[in-house]
Amino acid sequence: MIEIQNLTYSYEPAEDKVGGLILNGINLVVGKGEFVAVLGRNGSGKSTLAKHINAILLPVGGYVMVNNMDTRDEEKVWDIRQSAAMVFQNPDNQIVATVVEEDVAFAAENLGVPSAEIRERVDYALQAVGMSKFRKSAPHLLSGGQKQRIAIAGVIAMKPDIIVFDEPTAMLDPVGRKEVMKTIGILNKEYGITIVMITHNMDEAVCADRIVVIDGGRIIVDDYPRNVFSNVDKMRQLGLDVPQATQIAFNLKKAGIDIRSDILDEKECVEELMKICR
Amino acid sequence: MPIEVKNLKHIYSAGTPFEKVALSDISFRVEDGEFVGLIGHTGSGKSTLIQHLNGLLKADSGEIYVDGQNICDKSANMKEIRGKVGIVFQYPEYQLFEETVYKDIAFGPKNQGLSDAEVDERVHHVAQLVGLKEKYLEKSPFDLSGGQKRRVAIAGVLAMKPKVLILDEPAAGLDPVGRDEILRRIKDLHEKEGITVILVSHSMEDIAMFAQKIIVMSDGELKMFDTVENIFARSAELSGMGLAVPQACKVMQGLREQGLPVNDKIYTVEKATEEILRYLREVGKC
Repeated sequence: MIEIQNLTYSYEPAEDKVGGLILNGINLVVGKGEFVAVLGRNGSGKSTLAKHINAILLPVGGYVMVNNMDTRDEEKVWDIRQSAAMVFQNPDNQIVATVVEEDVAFAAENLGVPSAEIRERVDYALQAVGMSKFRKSAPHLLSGGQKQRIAIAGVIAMKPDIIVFDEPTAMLDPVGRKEVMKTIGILNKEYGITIVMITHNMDEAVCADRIVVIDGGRIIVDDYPRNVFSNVDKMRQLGLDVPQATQIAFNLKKAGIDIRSDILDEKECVEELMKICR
Repeated sequence: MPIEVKNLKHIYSAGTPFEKVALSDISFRVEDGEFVGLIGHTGSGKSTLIQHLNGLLKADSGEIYVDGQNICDKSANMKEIRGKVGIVFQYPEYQLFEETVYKDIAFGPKNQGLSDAEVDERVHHVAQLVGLKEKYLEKSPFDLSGGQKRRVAIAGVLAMKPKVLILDEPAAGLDPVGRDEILRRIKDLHEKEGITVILVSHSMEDIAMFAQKIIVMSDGELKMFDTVENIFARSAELSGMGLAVPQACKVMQGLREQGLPVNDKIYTVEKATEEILRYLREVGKC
C-alpha cells in the first residue's frame, strides 16, 4: 500500500527557475492490489511523483509511506525498493548484462535470492513477458521493444508488492503493447501486485481500475476511467487525449445524436450505434 | 530527391552462430517530396532498413539509389550522402553532447565545412523551424525538458539541410500535445521546404494523420507498399503481422460487419464522425 500525504518537491533551483514546485501538495492513497493509471502532460510532475514511491527522490515537504515504511527513513531504503520496483521509459538504460537471462537475474541476485529460486523466477519472468526463447540471446541484438520486455522481466523476478511503470510500452508495437498490458493485468489480478502506471496512451489507461490526472504538480482528477474519459473537453484542456472511439461518440453527441458519452472502446461504440440504428 | 532500393539484403553476424537475415530482398521507390509511413512489428527490420538509406549500415547485396547515385558503390561520397539524408533516431535527446544548444545544433553543418556565418544562419533558421526560442540557444541542452531536448536533436539534423528526413519514432514518450506539435512541424517542413519524409512509428493514428503512403515490414520483408487508405483496408492481414489499424477504422469496420452500409475505408476520427452522421441522416435517425 502506498500513502502519500501533502507531498511537495522541487529540483535544485536553477538560475532562471520558472515553476518552483514540481509537486505541490499531492495526497494519494493506493490500496493493496489496485491498478492506478497516472496521466498528465510532459512536465506535469508524473515521473517525479513516481520516483518518490521507491525513494529515488525524497520529499521536500510531506511524506510517502510504502507498506508502512517512510521513504525518508534511510535504513528502510532497500526494503522499500524491493517492495516497490520500477520500470523506466528507456530499456537501454536498464540493461546491464550481456545475456538475457543473466540480465533478468541481476536484481534478484542482488536481493540474495538462493540460486535455485533465481532459476525459477527468471524462467517465470521471461515467460510472463513472452521472451523465453530469447533467454540465451545478447540484449544488444534485440529490438527496442524486446529489450523493454527484458527490463520488465528483471523487475518481475524481484517479486515486488508494487510495480511502478513509467511509460512501459512507449516503444512497443501493438502486439508487444498488448502482451505487456496483458502481463501487467495478470500481475495485478492474479498475483495481487499493486500497479501504478504512467502512460500517454489513453487506450492503456482504460485498462486501469482508477485514473489519476496530474497537472501543475497537483492531482486534478481521481476517478474511474469511464467518468474521466467522458469529460472530453476537460481532458483536452489538460493537454490529454481520449480514445478515438470516445472522441467519435463525443462528436456525434455534439451533432445532436442521442448516444452515451462514456464509451471507452470500439466495441462499445459500435454496440451503441447499432442500438440507435435499430 | 527520390530514393530507390533494389533487392536489398542485410545479414547480421554473417558466418557466426548468431547469423540472422534482417532484410531480405527489399525493393521500393520513394518519390521526391513524398511523406511515407514505415510500420512493422518490433524486430521487423525497420531500423535496419533506415540505417541503410544513408549508408550507416552496408548492404550485403542489392542497390540503393539516392538522387540517382548508387550509395552501395565504393566510390560513393558518403559525407555528401549523409548531408542529403538525415536520420533522427529513437530518443535522439540522448545523443546531445555539447555545452550549449547552439553548439549542438552547429555540430553537423560545421563538420560539413560551412563557414561560421553560414553555420550561424542555419542554427537560427532551424531553431525557429522546430519552435525553439532564441533564449535557449545559449543554455546547456541538459537543462531543457524532454520535449525541448528532442527539438534540439531534430534541429541538429535539419541544420545539415537534408533533402530526405527519416525519423524513427519521433513522438515516443511525448504527451498528446507535444506529439501533435512535433508531428505538425514535420508536416510543415514537408509542405513548405519540400522535404521527403519517412516516418517510422508504431502509432497507426499518427501515420493515418500525416502519411500519404505506407510501407509495411514484417520479418525482414517488405509486405506492402501502398496508399494509406488501401493499407488500412487490409486490417486482417495487418493484425496477422502484429499490427493494427487506427481505432476509428475499427469502429467503421465494426459497423460494416454489423451490416450497416457505411464506408469503412476511413481512418481518422473526423472522417468517421462525418460518415456516421451522413448514414444516420440518410436513414432518418437524426
